[in-house]
Amino acid sequence: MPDSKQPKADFSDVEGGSSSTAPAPSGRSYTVVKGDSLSKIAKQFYGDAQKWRKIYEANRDEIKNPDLIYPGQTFTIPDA
Amino acid sequence: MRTQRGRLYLLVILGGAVSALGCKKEAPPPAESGSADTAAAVPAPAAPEAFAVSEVTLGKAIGADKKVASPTTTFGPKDTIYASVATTGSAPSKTLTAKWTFQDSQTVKEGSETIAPTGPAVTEFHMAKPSAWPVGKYKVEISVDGTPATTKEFEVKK
Repeated sequence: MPDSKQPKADFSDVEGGSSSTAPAPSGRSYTVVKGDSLSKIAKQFYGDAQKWRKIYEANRDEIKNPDLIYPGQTFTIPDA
Repeated sequence: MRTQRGRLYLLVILGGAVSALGCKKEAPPPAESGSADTAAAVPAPAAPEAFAVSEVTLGKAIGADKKVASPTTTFGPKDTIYASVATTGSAPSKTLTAKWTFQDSQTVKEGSETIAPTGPAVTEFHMAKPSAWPVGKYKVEISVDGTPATTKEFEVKK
């Protein structure tokens, strides 16, 4: 009876790579502590509390409501 | 009578002054963490589009925009195979992974790219085999943060 199993192909010399039109994530992050607000964090990083939307929009997965952020949440801080 | 009318005027004047001051007040910044009673203080801006894979295109070459110019699902043994992954939405960090398999079982290669898209983006994955691809059916599975998003099949023919 012939062996129905085929020998595995050799892919050891396969070369690959990737690239994107999107930027790589910024290295800066910030973990929320008690008493923080988006405007307070924006003031800390950008020197301007009005730029809180920038942080909000970069962390939409984490922030459901910009008025409600919680200690322990970690946000990516986009470049100014 | 005169006293009552005077009080009425005074109330109207005071009311107007309070209204005028109220109109000049700027919108408050977002509330501090952990407070729930001021949730409606600042209207939420329009929500940015959630991150998602919109399309995967295969081909033998890509342009500067990372898009495949001539999509195909049939390749020759010496071709470089490109998978161009179009995404929509923004996110601070998303990891796209391409897992290439041969005949539904054997892993050929796996690669990933971590991106921080701020809108529509295109990410390409490619692989080449100098000693020629074995003829047969292949598949590339695209995952987002480890969750399978879409799969595309292709074939290598002589």
